[in-house]
Amino acid sequence: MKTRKIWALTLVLALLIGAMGGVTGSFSAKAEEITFPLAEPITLTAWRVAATSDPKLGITTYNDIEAVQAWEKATNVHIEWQIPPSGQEQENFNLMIASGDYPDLIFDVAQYYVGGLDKAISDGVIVPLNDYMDNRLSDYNALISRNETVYKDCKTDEGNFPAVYFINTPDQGPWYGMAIRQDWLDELGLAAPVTYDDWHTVLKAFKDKYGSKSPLWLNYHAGDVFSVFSAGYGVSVLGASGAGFINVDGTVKYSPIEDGYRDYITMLHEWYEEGLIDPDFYSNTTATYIPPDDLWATGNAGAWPDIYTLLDIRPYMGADENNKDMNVVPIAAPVRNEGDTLHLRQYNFTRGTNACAISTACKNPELAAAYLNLGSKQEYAWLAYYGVEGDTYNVVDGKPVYTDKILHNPDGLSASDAMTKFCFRSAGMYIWDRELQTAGPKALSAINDIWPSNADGNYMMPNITMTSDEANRYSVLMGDISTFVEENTTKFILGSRDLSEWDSYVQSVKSMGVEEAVSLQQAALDRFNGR
Amino acid sequence: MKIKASPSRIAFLIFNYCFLTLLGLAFIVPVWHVVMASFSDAAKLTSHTGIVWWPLGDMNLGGYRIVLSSPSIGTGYANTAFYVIVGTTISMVLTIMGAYALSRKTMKYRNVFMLFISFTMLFNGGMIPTYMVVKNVVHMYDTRWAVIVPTAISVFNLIILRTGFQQVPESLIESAKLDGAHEWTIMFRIIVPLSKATIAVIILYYAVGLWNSWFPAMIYLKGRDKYPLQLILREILLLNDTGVMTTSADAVKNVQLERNLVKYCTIIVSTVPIMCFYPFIQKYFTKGVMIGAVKG
Amino acid sequence: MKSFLLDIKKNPGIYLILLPVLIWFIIFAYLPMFGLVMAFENYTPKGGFFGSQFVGFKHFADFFGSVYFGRLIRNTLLISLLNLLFNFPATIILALLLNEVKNKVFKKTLQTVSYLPYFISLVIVCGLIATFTASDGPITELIVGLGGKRQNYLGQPEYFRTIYILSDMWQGLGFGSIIYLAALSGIDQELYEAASLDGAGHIQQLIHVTLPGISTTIITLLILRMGTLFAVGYEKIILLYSTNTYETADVISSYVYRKGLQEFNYSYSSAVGLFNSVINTTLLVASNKLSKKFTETSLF
Repeated sequence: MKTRKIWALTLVLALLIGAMGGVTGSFSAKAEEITFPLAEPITLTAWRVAATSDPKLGITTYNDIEAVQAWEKATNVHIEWQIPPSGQEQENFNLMIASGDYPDLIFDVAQYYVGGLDKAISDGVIVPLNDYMDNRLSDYNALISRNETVYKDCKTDEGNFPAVYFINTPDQGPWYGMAIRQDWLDELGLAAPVTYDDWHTVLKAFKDKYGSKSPLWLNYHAGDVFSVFSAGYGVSVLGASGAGFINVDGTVKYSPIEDGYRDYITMLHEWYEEGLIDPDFYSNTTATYIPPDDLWATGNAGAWPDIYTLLDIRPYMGADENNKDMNVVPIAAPVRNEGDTLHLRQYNFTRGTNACAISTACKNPELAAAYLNLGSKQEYAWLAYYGVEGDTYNVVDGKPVYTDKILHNPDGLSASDAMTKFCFRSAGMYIWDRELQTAGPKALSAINDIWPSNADGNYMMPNITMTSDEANRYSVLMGDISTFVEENTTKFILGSRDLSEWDSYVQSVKSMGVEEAVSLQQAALDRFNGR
Repeated sequence: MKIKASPSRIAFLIFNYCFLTLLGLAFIVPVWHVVMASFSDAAKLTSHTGIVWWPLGDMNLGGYRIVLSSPSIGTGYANTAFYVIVGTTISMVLTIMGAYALSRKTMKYRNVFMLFISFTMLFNGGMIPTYMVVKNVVHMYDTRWAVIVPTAISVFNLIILRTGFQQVPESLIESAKLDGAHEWTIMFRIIVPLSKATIAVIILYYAVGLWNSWFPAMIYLKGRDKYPLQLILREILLLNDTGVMTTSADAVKNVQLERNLVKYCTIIVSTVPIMCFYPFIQKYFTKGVMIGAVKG
Repeated sequence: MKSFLLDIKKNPGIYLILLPVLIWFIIFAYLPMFGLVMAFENYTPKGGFFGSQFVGFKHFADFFGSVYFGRLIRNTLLISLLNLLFNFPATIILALLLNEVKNKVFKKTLQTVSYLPYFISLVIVCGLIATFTASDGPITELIVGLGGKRQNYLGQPEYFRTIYILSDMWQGLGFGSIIYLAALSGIDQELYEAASLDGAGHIQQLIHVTLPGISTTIITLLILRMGTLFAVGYEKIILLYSTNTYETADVISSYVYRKGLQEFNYSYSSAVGLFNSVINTTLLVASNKLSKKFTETSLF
């Protein structure tokens, strides 16, 4: 109670000072420069998803993070955070929007605002930033102007700059791809498989030699979240980025009714019969990115899609006695014929879905914009992503390098936990490559060489947006279609529906209106390309 | 007075004890599994299949250390205690009043009111309208009352209690009335004492409900200092969720060896206190409560 | 109206006691019902409840027009009815069996044990179910030992309902029987004595004393259950089902939940909720009427 009163008082004082500042012309006049730290402290409110829900880090609000405190000192802007309970972010966000009681800054808005950010603007929730791009947000503007794709990604169909996005700086390689047990390949004297036929031979050998329950692990959509494994057939699976839709040189296609999908499913059906994929694959709906521990850690899986930073540490993540010496290496995605180039993989998205917007309730959007601009300046971005110089990082050869407080934390925290505890992510420059400092050699070869080696992401759908009418119609159509496709994909693979019925399956999907859904996606893609 | 047991009676009794013992085992084995798993070694637990009969590896409190190290767990327990005690009291007072009034046959329009109340069991305005009422009409947003008051009455419990009240012979009420007792007196001096067992059940229902409740807190509370235990524990449970990952760093964070272990420990931490409450309720289920009251 | 005022005049005390309860219902139950208009519009936060675009019965038409409509209704009803058929009597039987136990320690232990599973959160229970019925799980081993097939039982459409209902029983049996235990404890012991003096055996006592003694509770609960026949919660379903079991497992609420994941569509889910409410009301009123006719017990 007492602290709340103090906050309220601070806020009132801050507003008063702000108003007085306006009179003397310190920052409300347009031409005036806003310099940080501000002469007088000010408080802004912000909604943002929790940094962590891990109790051992002892972080309940962003203000517990040392880098946030350092930011406050460097800016003289205090943020009062509204943090939704983990797991209930969407509900909490919806209620906040529905109640009409918005904080000054809304983080993660692009992820949670249903119907897209153009709608958030026309709904009167957030303000477009177009007017500030040349002045208050000049550094952000410079950041996104570095190439055309980034610029297009940060603009909406209607030409708005709705929020300050987290821009991947530098560009990011694929952090997700196939991995295989090299130690098994060595023991069996087998070469790394290239084509699907090679994979078949290898998986069969895994099965025979090690009795693996699931020589190849795929998730319950019979693939993986970036369609890496199905890329050889040129198709995306459900549950993957794009939800089955692919962008073939500007034309949208729905993979699950393509011939390639049939061939892919036919292959998996044979593999299922031979016991080469997890017999229970369809029933584990929680493991989507990577295999559950009871498969990979126990020698029940020999190959699976993986995340690059995990490759080096797999043996220490709980592998059992017999598999303590596992050597998991990245491997290029399989192809149908040697030399094929693939077009589906984890794509170099230029920005994350994270973004921070200024709400219509913000009393001083000029100041808020100037504040958000800071994340696009290197010194402030470093302060956020690397923490306080001399404490959590040092500059070596002009580059920030974490100290042992992060890399070998004295309290025994892992490097990624220590980053969460001491640093935070600011909007603007998203310095994702800080995590490369903790990555091992396999991780680096995966992201830089092996996974991009035979694949580009040209078929991936970009960050399109639909209008709310389109989105409503799309959801009505796709709700039924996805259920039908999911169900029949499983049945075809298990053999409870025969693949001779493929044509009637395609007919059913079409009769459910898939062409209309494709045209909705196409319209959104065309608008995106025309931005 | 001892009734001589017939052979079929003995056969039944033997069957009954055997059957109930088996049933009891069926209940206890999975619970045992949860308890033993919570003391296990994280790595061994992950690769184990089947029932955990005894802690795997060395007896281990690592999972509990993680759960209990949460900075808000202490306030969580305190808040939940407040919600359970104050909430159950408010709920019981309102429910008893409603059930009593609607059980009284002298009230001509009680069926209309019954309908009025039952209707709300089937139709509700949904989350957002309710939220707006709590926020803008009764101004309970971000107060502890928001967790308790909007869900104070469960129609289901009210109806059960009313059914219980109706069992009390009308003659008792009549005679009390002749003695000049007010409705209030009849309610608390006659009806409530005679329905102890049912009231004990309803108290249990409300208390357990409030103990497990997290949704109203999630919706109506902004200040984390008011969060109940369950909401805090839910967040800890989420460690194990893969959810939507936007970057690889998120993914690594989500891969936690201890996640299975933490799940089991959370269960123990969150249920043991409320389970201890049960024996206090149980003692009201003894036979003859009614008789004693009537005769006395 | 006049007779209503007369009724108040006749029972001022009762009305005074009822008043706070009525006020609570008006504020927290009736006031929010204006939100039901959402079902007939394309609700947007900006438009609010009265400014959003009105679309009439469009969302209902979308729902009824879904190719899955028939299957959803069938699955919802089947799971709900089977649940009622098995779990409703099971709680009564457990209470009656416990009532026959004379050994106090045994009785108390069993009661306590039977109600433990209720406190394990659904996520864990479903996790246990999946582990125990996997192709190498303990339950599967048991079935294989008895000559059954080795397979992932939870993943087979023909076993989904069985597993769903048995696990519900496991979790709710003890907690559900508590209410009957309370009702049993309220039966006048003199009735038993009188019956046994009349030479009634245990079976006859059960039929003539015990069951009538708890019949009001049973019927009240049964009517209440009828009113929730169309409401199968989505949480457990989505934790248990898989693409291979959709045909028997997918229910209205899980379908709406999946839709909601793609597009948080308040209006659509309101419409489905309203549809559910209407059906449930019909069922409740009908069963109440039937009960009134045959047993003289009724809610209103």
